[in-house]
Amino acid sequence: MESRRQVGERVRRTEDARLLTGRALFVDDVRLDGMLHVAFLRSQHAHARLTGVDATAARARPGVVAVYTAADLGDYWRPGPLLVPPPPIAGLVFNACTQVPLAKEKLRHVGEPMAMVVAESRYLAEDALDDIVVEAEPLPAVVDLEAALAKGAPRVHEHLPSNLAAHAVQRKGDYARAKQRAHTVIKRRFRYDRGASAAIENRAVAAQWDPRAEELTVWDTTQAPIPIRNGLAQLLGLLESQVRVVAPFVGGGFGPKIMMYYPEEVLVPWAAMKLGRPVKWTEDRQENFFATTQERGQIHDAEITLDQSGKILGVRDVFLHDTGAYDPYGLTVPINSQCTLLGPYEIPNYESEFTAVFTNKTIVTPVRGAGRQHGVFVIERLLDFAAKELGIDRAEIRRRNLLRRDQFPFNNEILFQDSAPLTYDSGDYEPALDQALELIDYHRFVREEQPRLRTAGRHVGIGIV
Amino acid sequence: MTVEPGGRVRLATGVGTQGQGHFTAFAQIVAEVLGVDVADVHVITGDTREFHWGTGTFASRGAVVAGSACQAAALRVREKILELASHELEASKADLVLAGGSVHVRGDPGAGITLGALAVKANPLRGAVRPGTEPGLEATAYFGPDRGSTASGVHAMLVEVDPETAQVEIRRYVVVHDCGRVINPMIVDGQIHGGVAHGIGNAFYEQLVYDEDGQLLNASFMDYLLPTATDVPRVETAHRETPSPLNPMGAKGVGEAGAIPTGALFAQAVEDALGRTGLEICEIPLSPSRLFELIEEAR
Amino acid sequence: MVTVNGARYERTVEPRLLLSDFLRNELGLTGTHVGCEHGVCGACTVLLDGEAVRSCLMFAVQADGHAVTTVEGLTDGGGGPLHPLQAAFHEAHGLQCGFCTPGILMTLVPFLRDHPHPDEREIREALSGNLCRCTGYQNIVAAVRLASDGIPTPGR
Repeated sequence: MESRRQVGERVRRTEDARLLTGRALFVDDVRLDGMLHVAFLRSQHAHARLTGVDATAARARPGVVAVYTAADLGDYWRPGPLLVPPPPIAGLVFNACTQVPLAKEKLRHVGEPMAMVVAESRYLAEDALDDIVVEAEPLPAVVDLEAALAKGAPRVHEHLPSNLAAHAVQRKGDYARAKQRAHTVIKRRFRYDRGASAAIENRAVAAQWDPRAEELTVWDTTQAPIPIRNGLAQLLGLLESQVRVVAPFVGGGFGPKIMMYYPEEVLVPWAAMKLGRPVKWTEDRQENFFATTQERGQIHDAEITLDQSGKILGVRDVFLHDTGAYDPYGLTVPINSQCTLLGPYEIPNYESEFTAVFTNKTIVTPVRGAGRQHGVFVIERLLDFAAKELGIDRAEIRRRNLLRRDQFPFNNEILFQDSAPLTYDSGDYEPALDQALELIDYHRFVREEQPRLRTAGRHVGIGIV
Repeated sequence: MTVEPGGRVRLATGVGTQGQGHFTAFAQIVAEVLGVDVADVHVITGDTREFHWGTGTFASRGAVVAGSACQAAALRVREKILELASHELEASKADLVLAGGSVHVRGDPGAGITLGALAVKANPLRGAVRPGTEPGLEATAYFGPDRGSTASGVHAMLVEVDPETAQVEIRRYVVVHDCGRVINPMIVDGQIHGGVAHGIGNAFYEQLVYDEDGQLLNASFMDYLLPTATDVPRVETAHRETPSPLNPMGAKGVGEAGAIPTGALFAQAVEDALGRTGLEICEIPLSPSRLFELIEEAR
Repeated sequence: MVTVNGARYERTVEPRLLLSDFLRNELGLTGTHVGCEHGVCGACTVLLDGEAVRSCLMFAVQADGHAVTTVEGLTDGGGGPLHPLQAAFHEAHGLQCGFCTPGILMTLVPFLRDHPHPDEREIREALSGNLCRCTGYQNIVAAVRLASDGIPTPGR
């Protein structure tokens, strides 16, 4: 009797029992003797000059153990690291501006933390937030992407000449030449706006310093415990082996929980060491909308050129990408958009240019899909409009452009975020298209059912991408 | 990975888990290689005390990168098991079978030794390790592919639109997905269901509304709408497996796939539903109110 | 004074302490999760005298003299058998990260008590007050079907 096949089987999950019975540890479930609780005072302004944060009254409130501002952090205050340096795209312009633990001199998005209150309970900590006196001079906010790049626009980062966070152009083949041969050119502007990851569990960090063992334990709702451990060890001057980071059960990640060195993540462990008591911060839902990273919008001006049979000769795309107030995650999201636009199709000539823009909004980092949605939206819509113009069925125009099985590994030439030319390892796309068409009974719907429904006054449509 | 004296297998990996079923999927990989029950593989993730190297769970990489490393470690442990068992059972490795938590000689299930007993034997009591061997039935393995693999898929949808109210109802949603070798189809389906729901949210219900002062106007679930059970259709899934040559299992990723084409699909299907109105959808999210505006504009 | 999962507790608390925080922090019953604190996501759902309520929208003092059941109350604890609804969720892969799950279970307990054989539409409506970001709800619906299949129909 050989060992039983397990891979490929619908094995029921071993982790379920704890989760179902409420015995699974999530970070906010961590309860330690003498634990203190944190609330953050967050900016109400999207853009402002910060001239004063006075915590005197807050510190005097009973139950408040400490209140920290940027000034109180001393040497510990520093901007976070650039997590993902961009790949070596020729001619790349990239301005790295990373988030800070507590705002100093300037506020760059609503929700940016200005002070940290540590108290005996979260309720008391939040009471103390109202005691803190903030002096700030509001500045005009940078919100619209095109306005952000206009001459004279207020600058999110004043050491830079503009709100340009990055500019990158990638080319494959010769688009201009391809356009000359075109039978059909379709050009459109597309706006694709994403949103928050909205995991049902908000972020949380708890930390405990054991002075006898000289060990720090951190519970964190992170998707990346090891890099967090390494970074904290370095920041706090500890050996990596003195720091244990535990990501226990995490209630959904979807991307923003792999943003690293969030202000709260670097401050809670520091406070635990400084105060000699365990410290915990749990984000509430409202905070999550400001304090946890998101994906947002891009504006694309794109055109596709095709021959008479609907075969793609080339694509040109110029787009703006909203990176928010800081860009610690580099260019992962827009590069994904740039690369994934090519999709499963053979696109011999491609020109893609993007400008990443700083705005006075929450930082943008990958959220499930990480910019690929934007690229997919552009190419699929262009193909749809081309199909309409050429009188070709939508599924058919895709079929004509799909890469074939014998073309793999397929080198798309432009640089991907791993710094190598984007290469597809394997794939067999046409049979998948056929299977989907069959499952949804596409042809019969288009030929028979849809006209029948239309006559009956019903508006039923079919889509396939 | 370690086989413990009780016969259970302990596996630690550097990735963290947020619901993707790593505890089970990785156990399946190991269970198949070592011939044990999935329930006897104890997986630890997300604890830096247990494993020292790695980045994390993102970009749909978990099964490919950590899964491949689990398999590699299991294969090394399997080799140690066979080596020691061939010595203990006085049989050649080629004649040995791993099944049911034991090693036995092929064709003679009675002549065997449990993995637990073998693990005890692998622990040199007087601390004297035989030259050229390592104590225990233990191995550590890493995996770093040359580059990312590329999964693929096709989504199709039937929608009905009421042009008076701009309400959109999804009648059918079909996904044909190719993520290479599938470790646990139940988990893969779950990822696709969740991804599609996420995509529907992004395509239709979710929008972060900022005013010109940079204030987020809808920072709560009352105004930032996540799709509920009455908004998400049943997703019909079909799987294809075009293996990746870049890792021994041939796996690709699936975590994000469901969420990626939904916007494009919505736009196409809704335009199709509204027929020859000249309506063109070049933006996402749609929402009943925005769609209503677009319909009016197109009139 | 409140009874939780059959045990009586007497505590002095601030009037503004939410029931969810009381259960989690005072009593250490962390199975009830907090997702939004404004009553939309349903993760904090518990039973108050047998009916589903959002514990983030109640003050602990409002539970004075009442009986609360949390997810921990569905089993005997200590590794005993799962409640049939929990077993159905396990079988149908009705959870992924598990964070919303206790709230969903507690919503379903009174629902299935009152509607032992719901159809899909009824199930989805019953679930419409609980947000899940992982599963797309499909396998949750399947789990409820499975659980209700196991509920004997009267007269059989």
